Amino acid sequence: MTRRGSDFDDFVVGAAAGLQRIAIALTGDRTAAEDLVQDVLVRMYVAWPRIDDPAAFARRALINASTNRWRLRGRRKEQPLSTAPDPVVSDRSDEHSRRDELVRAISSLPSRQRAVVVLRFLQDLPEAETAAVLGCSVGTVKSQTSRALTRLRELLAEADNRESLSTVTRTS
Amino acid sequence: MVIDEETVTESLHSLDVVIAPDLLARVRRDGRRRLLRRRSLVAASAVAAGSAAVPVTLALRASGAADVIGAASRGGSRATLSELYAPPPAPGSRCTEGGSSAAAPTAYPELLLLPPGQAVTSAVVRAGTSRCRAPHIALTLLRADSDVVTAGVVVAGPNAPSADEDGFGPGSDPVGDTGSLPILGVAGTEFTADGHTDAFWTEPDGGQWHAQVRGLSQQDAVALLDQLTLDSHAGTATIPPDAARGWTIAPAAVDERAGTEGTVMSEWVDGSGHTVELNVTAGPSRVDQEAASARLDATLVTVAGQPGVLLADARTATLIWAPAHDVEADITVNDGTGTEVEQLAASLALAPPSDPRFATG
Repeated sequence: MTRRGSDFDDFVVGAAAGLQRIAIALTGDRTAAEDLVQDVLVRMYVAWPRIDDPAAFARRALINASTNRWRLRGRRKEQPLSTAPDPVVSDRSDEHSRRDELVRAISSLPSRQRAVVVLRFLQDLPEAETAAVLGCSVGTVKSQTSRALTRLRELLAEADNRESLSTVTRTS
Repeated sequence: MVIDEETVTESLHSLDVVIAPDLLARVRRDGRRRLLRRRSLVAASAVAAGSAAVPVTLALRASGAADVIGAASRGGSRATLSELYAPPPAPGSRCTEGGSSAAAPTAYPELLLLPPGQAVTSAVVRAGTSRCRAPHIALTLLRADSDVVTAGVVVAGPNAPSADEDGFGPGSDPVGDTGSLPILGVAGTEFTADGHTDAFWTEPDGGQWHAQVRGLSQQDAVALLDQLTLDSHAGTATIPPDAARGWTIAPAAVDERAGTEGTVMSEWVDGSGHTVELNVTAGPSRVDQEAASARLDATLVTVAGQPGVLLADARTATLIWAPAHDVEADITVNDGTGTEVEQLAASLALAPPSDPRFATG
């Protein structure tokens, strides 16, 4: 892996969709995700001769970048799901709308929990590999996963309550 | 909807994504520009191969710094480092990529290089603003074999970025050999991969220093740096004759300016169907620093009598040179060869501001 030639192009073509999916899950916003992916790929272009495992590098860089406040221009503040920006799942059926909310809820998790969810459930990494990527113990991965799922349930329940209140207000 | 591992997995995998068709082109373009700008700064003339290695003390050239020193001297006390030098760019501030706006070609007649008689896809004149100054380059060493650079050293300080600020923070690059060898008796941090070492250390006086070394092992790089004598207040690095033997010392670097400067960016397709990108920017040349720190094959060349450095990989060939005083240009031929890019660079000529091609931006 020493040249920025066709091997770099091949990596981008093959990995772009997967990287974008990770970025959307990390940011909850398509525009921010596109910026994030491009930024990481540009960094990879510069560092390409030194990168042994591009997929691992990109995954790690996305997670690191998404936890750096400046990269996301302060948009990491948790926001009510009902006011979140662009939909991230295109199908607008109820089920898919719910998935849409879930993905946005994931993006509002604390950074460590968000990274664990993305690595475990989008990248399908086993707990041990997730722990290795994040530099923590398997026990931490397990506890963060549990907390993340609990927090996701809370966030979606809060969204349901807001929706119910909104419905009551409209009908009264 | 039950929120469990299966639901989360299914929802994440159901994300639909649309990849912009020009993503790869944008990444390559921005990547090349970052490579070229990353080690910005200077050296105004050619490296005289085989010149005698002597101790050097480079003149302090930081913009405005001389006045500060003078004032401090009159007051009988030394200025602080923060007074002498602009701080390094803050992480994420993208100083060299600050805002820019369209400018009239008449504003920068010295930058209007174009290929004679060649239609262009675009030719844009911009006035860009750099929000902060790049680090001061104190010393540049080169070792070349038949004009092919085999080793190089660029020492920057005392306002260099720290390792974290320069993108070597924890987890940033999960490759390479990270070292903690002391440099000049203080704690140092070294990152080495593919024959290149980035070394960072802080002098007791608070000066933050950074060295890029190519072509040496990490141990040899640190051994060489250990021979330096630094003066953070003067912004100088000196190397004794014994340690400098076999190296060529590049002429003193001129600090990159902060403020507004012009850039002309052009693009066209040459007769072979290769896309060519040309950037011409006002500012000091950085040919020697690029040659000394490049992570690509670097060859010292001459373009119309001016020194240049050719950086080539399997996909592109880029030539950086100073076509005139205080003007630097880089030209890249995608899928092109070094010979092709050299010929193209030599064929460029200044166009008049009224040239209709400047309306294509």
